[in-house]
Amino acid sequence: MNDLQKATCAAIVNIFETGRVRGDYGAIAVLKGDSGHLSYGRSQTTLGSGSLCKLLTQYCQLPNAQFAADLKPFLPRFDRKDFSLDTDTTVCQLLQRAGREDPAMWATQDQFFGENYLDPACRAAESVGITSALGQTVVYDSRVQGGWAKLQARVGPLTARGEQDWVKTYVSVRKAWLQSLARPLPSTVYRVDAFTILMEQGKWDLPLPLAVHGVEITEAALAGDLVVPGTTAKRTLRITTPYLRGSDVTALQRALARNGLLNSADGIYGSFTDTLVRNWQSSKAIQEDGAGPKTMQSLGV
Amino acid sequence: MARAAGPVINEISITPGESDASLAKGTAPATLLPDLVQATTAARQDLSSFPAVVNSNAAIAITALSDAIKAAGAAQTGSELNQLIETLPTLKGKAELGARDAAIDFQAKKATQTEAETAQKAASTLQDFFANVMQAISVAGANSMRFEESPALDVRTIDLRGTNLSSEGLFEIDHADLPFRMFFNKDGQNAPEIVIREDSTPSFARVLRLTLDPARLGSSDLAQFQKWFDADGVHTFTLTNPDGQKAELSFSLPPAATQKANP
Repeated sequence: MNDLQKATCAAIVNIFETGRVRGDYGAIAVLKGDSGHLSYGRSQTTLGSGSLCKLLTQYCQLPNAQFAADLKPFLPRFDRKDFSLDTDTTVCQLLQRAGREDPAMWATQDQFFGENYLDPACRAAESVGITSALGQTVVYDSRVQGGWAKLQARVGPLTARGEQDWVKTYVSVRKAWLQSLARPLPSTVYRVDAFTILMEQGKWDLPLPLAVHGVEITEAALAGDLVVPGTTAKRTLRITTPYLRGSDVTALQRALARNGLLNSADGIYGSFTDTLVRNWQSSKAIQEDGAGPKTMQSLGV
Repeated sequence: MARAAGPVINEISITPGESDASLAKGTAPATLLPDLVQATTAARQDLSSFPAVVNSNAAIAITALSDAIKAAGAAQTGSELNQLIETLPTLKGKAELGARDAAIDFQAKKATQTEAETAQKAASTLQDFFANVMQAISVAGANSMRFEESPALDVRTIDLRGTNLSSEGLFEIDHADLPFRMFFNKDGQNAPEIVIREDSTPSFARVLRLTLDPARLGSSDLAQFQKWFDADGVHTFTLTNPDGQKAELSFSLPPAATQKANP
């Protein structure tokens, strides 16, 4: 897979797990079982497995990590798997803030999940002869959600059947398996159903834009449906699903209001905000797809 | 000089006596429905803050949000949850279309700024609500999948009853080595535990206990442990005392008469 396909692959699983293209870097939950306990991040590193400690150690080593000084004193407790961290509100709030506010945490998680989850999944897929981007995404999803080893063995070797046939069979076997498990796992068949739709559409190379379970994946959404709070990121604002939000949207809305296009500056780039932008562009004869640099400059943002 | 008497195993008892597969059936975690309370509360709060609207398209967006919250509140069973997962993307799409059409109406002066903004906010709240519901389902699913992938294995205690059972002997199940590193006695050592000593030879036991904790085993030992205890079946236990004399007895999971030697 090339880098764009890898990003798309990660986005598909993020949508399954969090309903968001970029996932939720600040997600916190407590999972049952000794390998679970406190779980954190867009692909759930856990206290019990030691992966959370590894992630935080990596983050705290970065010179620009905003929450490193606050988190470092807790690292020994993560290292010895102190399960009282499950309910430590100070730690949970710190983790949540780091995940929602610090680009260094986003970068750490992207690297960590790429190296530890996505790359090994791609290698596992290749080892059984699956090379298409969609096929490898099916394998990645199975490894993230669970059950890959068990079900791969049930489907057997790829042999002469061809990759697409094998992946289709695997997806149907996986669907039946998920439906046979305890609640709420049968409800997660939306994951395999989404793959079935992509296969029916022949999207084996994951071309963009893609709609997955009601969420649109575009290059813009991959690049940044998150902005650094308190800063004005240089991205082109346009209608996406879900809508873009952030401080740059608020700055744009305030500028529109200053120029007579009244709005409550709610920080949401939805249809109403887009209409105001088009009105502004039309009044200034600006031709631009979305609110990009020309529009921003004309508004003094 | 007369050779010391060899070991005799009269009885083996394994605790728990069922295979891991049987135990897993009985200890599977209670089926969990995702916790949608937080997601629903946040969405409901937004919904209650919206002003009344007259514009029909703005109303469509708000109604879609309201319907989504109701659907989540009604999801008490697995099939209702499936229904919710199917319904939410449709409702989200409806809210987005409502917001788009309300913005068109605003442009045509058929909707007020407040109405068009409210429709945008309703669609945005529903997008968040959808994401939060999916996340809650994913977390609940991860809990269940964790058990499905690797159910917690029980500590196994093997009690051997007989005579001249050496705690320093060699132990085998199905003629595969059961090494000392797999044992964990009450003193925290990797060794068997003598529960009742032989009166005549204190280094021998009449009751010898072997405790195996799967959580402490390395991957190859764990694989061997699972080979022995994962499924129902009959196995052979062998003890070879340091002088080379052997005793052998079958045991089964779940327990059966074969675990007791014939008198």
